[in-house]
Amino acid sequence: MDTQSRNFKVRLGLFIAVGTALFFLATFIIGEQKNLFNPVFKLTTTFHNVSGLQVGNNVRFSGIIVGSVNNISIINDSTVKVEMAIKKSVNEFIKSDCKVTIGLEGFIGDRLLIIMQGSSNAPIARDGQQLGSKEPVETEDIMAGVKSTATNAETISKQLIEFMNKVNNRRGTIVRLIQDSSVVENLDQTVINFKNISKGLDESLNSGTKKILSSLQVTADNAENISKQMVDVMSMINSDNSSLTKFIQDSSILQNLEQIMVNLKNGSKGFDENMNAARESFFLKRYFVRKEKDAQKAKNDSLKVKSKD
Amino acid sequence: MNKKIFSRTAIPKLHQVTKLTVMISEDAIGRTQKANYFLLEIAGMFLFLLRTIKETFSRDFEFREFWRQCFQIGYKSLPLISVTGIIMGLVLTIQSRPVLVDFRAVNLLPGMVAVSLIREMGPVITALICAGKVGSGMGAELGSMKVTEQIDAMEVSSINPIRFLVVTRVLAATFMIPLLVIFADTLGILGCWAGINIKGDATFVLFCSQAFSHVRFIDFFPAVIKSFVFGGIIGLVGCYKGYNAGRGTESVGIAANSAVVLASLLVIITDLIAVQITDMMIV
Repeated sequence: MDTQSRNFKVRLGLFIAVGTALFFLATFIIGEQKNLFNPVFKLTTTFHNVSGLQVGNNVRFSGIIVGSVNNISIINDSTVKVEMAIKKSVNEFIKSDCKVTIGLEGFIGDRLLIIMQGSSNAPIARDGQQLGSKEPVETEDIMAGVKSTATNAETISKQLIEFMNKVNNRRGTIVRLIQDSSVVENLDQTVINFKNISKGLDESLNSGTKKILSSLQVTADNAENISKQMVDVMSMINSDNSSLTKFIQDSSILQNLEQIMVNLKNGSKGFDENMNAARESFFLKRYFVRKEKDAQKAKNDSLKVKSKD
Repeated sequence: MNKKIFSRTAIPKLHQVTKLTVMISEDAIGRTQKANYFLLEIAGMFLFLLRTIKETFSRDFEFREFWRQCFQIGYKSLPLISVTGIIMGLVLTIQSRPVLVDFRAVNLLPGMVAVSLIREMGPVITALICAGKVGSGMGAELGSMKVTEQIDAMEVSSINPIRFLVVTRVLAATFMIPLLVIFADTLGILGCWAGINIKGDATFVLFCSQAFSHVRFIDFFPAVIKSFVFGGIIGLVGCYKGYNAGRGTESVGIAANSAVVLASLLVIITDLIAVQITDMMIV
C-alpha cells in the first residue's frame, strides 16, 4: 500500500476527522444538556430532606427543563442546601417568591427540582438568591398510607363477606328483616297508619285550637273591659272630688274605725259576762242544762252509729 | 525380616510405590514449569512494554509506518465495527423494549440504550472485535516475520525492529481503537433509533433529546479513556506474541491464537478495574 498516494491520505484523513468530530459533537451535546455552554445564573434553596436528589438532576419551570442541580450540601442536621444553575434566558420569569419542590420524572424516574410559579407582581429573582421550598411527599409516607388503607379495606371486605354469607344463609335478625317481605308490608301499613293518625291529629288540633283560640279571644275581650273599668276606677280614685279618695286620704276616718274596733271588743267582752250571768240565773239555767243534755245525747247517738258501721 | 522385604509380593508393591512417587513428582514439576512459564510471560511482557515505551520517545519516529498501521487498524476495521455497532444498538433496543413497556417507561429506552452503549458495550465489544481482527493480525504478521527471520534481517540492517514494527503498531492501535469505539457508539445509537421506529414512532430530534438527556460526562469520558487502554493492550499483546513466536511455522498460528485469547482476557480484566475506578469517582 502506497502511503504517499492521495487516496490513502484522503481516506485515512476522513476517518480520523470524522471520528474526532463525532467525539467533539458528543462532548458538545452532553455539555449543552448540562448547560455548560449556556450562560447561567445561580439560585439556592433549602430542604429538610432531599429524597435522593443528586447533582446533575434537572430543574423544571412550567414543565420545561431550565437548569440543573449544581451542588447539594448539608448545612446542619435538619437543613440541606441545594444550588441550582438556571439558564439566563428564563431569569425574567422566575420571581423571588417562587417556591421549589422535589418531584419525580415519571413514576420510577430520577428526582428533579420543580420551581413553582410565583406572583406576577413580585420582583425577579436575582443571581444567588435563596428561594422558598416546599417539602416533598416521601414515597414511604404514601406507601404507609396506602398500606393502612389496604389493611382497612381488607378488614371491611372480610366483614362484608361474612355478612353476605349470613344474608345468603338467612341467619341473623337483621338478615331476616331484610329478607322477610311481610315485615316490609307491615312497615308500609304502619307508615300509612302514622299518616292517618297525623292527619286526624292535625284536624283535631285544628278544631281544638280554634275553640281555645275563641275562648282566649273572649277572655281577652273581658280582660280589656276589666282593664277599662279599672282605668275608670283609678281615675275616679285619683280625682280629688270622689268619696273614695276622701275616704283613703282622710286620716280621721281611720282613727274613728280604730275606735269602733276597740268599742266592739269591749262590747263583746261585756256581752260575754251578761251571757254567763244569764246562764246562772234561775229563769234561764234550766234551759241551758236541757240544751247541754240534748247536745250530749246527739253526740252519743252519732258514736253508736259509727261503731255499728 | 530381610526375607519379608525381598519376598515375591513385596517387590511388586515397592514398584507401585516408586511409580506413584515418580508420577506425583513429574506433575509437580509440570505445574512448577507452568507457573514458571506464566511468571516468565509476565516478566517478558513487562520488559517488552518498557522497551516499547523507550523506543516511542526516541528519535526517528517511523511516521510512514505509523500512518500505514493507522489505516490498517482504523479504516480497514470500520466496516466490521459499523455493522457490529448498528446490530448492537438494534438488538439492545429490541430486547429491552418489552421490559420497559411493562413499566410504562418506553420513553426511557433511548437514554438507557445510549448510556449502555457509551459506557460499556461500545468500548468492550469494539475492543473484543479488534482483539480478534487486529491482535491476531499483528501476532500472525510479526510471527511470520520472526519465522522467516525478517526481524533478524532488520536488526542486521540497523533498523530497530521494535521502533519500526512494535511502536508503530501499538501507537496506531492506541489511537485508532478509541475512534472505532466512537463510530460504534454513534452507529449503535442510530441502530437504537431504527429499533424504536420498528415498533413505535419517534422523530430523530426527539430521540436524540431523550437519548442524550441521560448521558453525562462521567459516562462518556471514562469510556473514551479506557478505550485508549484497550487499544494499547491489544497492540502490545499482539506484537509481543508475534515478536516472541517460535521458529516453526506452527508457532505463527499459536502466536495469533494466543494474542487473541490473551488480549481479550486482559480487555475484560481492565474493564473491571476501570468500572471500579469510575464507580469510586461517582461516589
